[in-house]
Amino acid sequence: MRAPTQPNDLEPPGGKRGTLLDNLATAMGAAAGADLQAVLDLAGVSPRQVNEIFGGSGGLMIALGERFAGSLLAPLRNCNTESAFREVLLEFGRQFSDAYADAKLSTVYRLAIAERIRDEDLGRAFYRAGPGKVVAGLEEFFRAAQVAGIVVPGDSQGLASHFLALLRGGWKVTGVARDTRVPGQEQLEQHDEIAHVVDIFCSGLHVESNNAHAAC
Amino acid sequence: MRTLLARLRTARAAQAMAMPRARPPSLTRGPTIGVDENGSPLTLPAVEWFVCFVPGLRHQWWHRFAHDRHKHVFAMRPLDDGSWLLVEPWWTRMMVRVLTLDQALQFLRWGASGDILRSRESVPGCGSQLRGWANCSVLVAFLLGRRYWTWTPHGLYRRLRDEAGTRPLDLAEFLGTYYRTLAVRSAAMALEGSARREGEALQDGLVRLGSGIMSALMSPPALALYRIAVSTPGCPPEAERAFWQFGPGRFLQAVQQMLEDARVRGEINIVDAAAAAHCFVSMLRGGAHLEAVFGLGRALLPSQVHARVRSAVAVLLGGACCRQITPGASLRAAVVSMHARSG
Repeated sequence: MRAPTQPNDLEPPGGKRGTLLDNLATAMGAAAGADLQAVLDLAGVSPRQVNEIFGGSGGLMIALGERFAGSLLAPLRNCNTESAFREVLLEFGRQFSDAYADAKLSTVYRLAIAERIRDEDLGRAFYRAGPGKVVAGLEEFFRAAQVAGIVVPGDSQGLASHFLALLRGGWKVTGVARDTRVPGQEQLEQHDEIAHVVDIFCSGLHVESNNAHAAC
Repeated sequence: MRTLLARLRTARAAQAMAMPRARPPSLTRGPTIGVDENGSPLTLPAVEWFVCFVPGLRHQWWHRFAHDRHKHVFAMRPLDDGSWLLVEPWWTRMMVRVLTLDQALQFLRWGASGDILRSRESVPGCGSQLRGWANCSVLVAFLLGRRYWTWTPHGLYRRLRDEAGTRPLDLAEFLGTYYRTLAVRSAAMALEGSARREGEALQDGLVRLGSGIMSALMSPPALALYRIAVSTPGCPPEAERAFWQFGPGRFLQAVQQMLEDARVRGEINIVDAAAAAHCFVSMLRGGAHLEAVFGLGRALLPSQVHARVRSAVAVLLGGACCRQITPGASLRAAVVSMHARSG
């Protein structure tokens, strides 16, 4: 097997590797529930091309994970006010929601988990390149918000984990199996739910005390 | 002149005198080891194996001489903790491994592409080490303690199938029952004693309940079931439903009940306890669960579980922000809208 072509900052967006990833991502959106071979067939990509460019199916999964992680982290930027912080969370949540809604990301996760059953090392490499990068990026964002006095000080990694879990909660692929809310819902409805998630995350359920600024 | 050999002998003798070799304590001189009627120090009951007669995964020249679907045979069985024991004879070695459920399912699905028989081993058995060619059929027959003179997987299949106690396995039906059993056991452990105690603060009750749930969600069988449910095309829907209904579904119900009771007592004021329960269970799963699904990290210690649950409870009840803008306003709208949709 040949060594995979390494991603390169100098590679143009429409380079061979990028084009192949675009085609595969599109095919994954259209082939929810299919196995990797079916996705490759749909994208018109041969196993030989996968071997040449990514070093094998494992390298391909890692490249896709990296690509999605990069796009999900794009909205994160440092902010100095709570309203700006909340706006960034909404933007991040919408990006996250849209990525899941068109089934591309969920197919990548599903195939990566299937590969992980066969090869534990590959599962770990995929996590570090994809979901792990998203957690790390969000953790850094929360750390900056803590420094700015917006977020309660403490475990920024835990906060990143909670926020992502709240966002994922509505989708079956990374939620509890066979959830009630599944991909394919109207985008607007999902964006309503993102606002709900951001509210819960920022303000909590408000434990009732004598000064009842309650949720309802 | 002494020979080289003589010098070496002398050197070794001197070394042995200078450093007397420590002898391990003799086991035979210790307390007597009792044995059963079979000469074994431990009496273990005969167990049932899933004997899988399968087609080849890769073509081999001799396949043309073997039965269509019975070209190889291996055996496996479930263990009490949700893992599986696999015994697979190869040409070059005997593979004996403890597998997680999701790994075992790969072999079970291979087995289902041929035939799976449930057969109880014979103890002490009547096989023989003098069977000659130790191919997969001979070794599996020996594992089961059988004396059949057959050297092909299909030959062993016919012999075992004709035994009185042997049953064919319907994999989909078996998995439905098996998933349900695992989910029920896991939920029972997670929810045992989880009801809120008299006078206990809501957050303490949620931490106690959440710790049980998170431990259950992070257990190896639950992680394996999750990987299967998410990744396996053709996973029997009834198996998934059973897992959902008797596992995570019950966790959500328990949290919802606790929040609902708190609402009735006037401790919190929410419209949709089900949505709030969903948020809480999602946070309990969190990043640690995703890491574990992909095989990162070690099992969490109870203290780590406790800390993560406390953090989730803090965010659920109080939020992550230091100052809260328009407290509850947009939450109210969203919860009301979710409530309207669910209604």
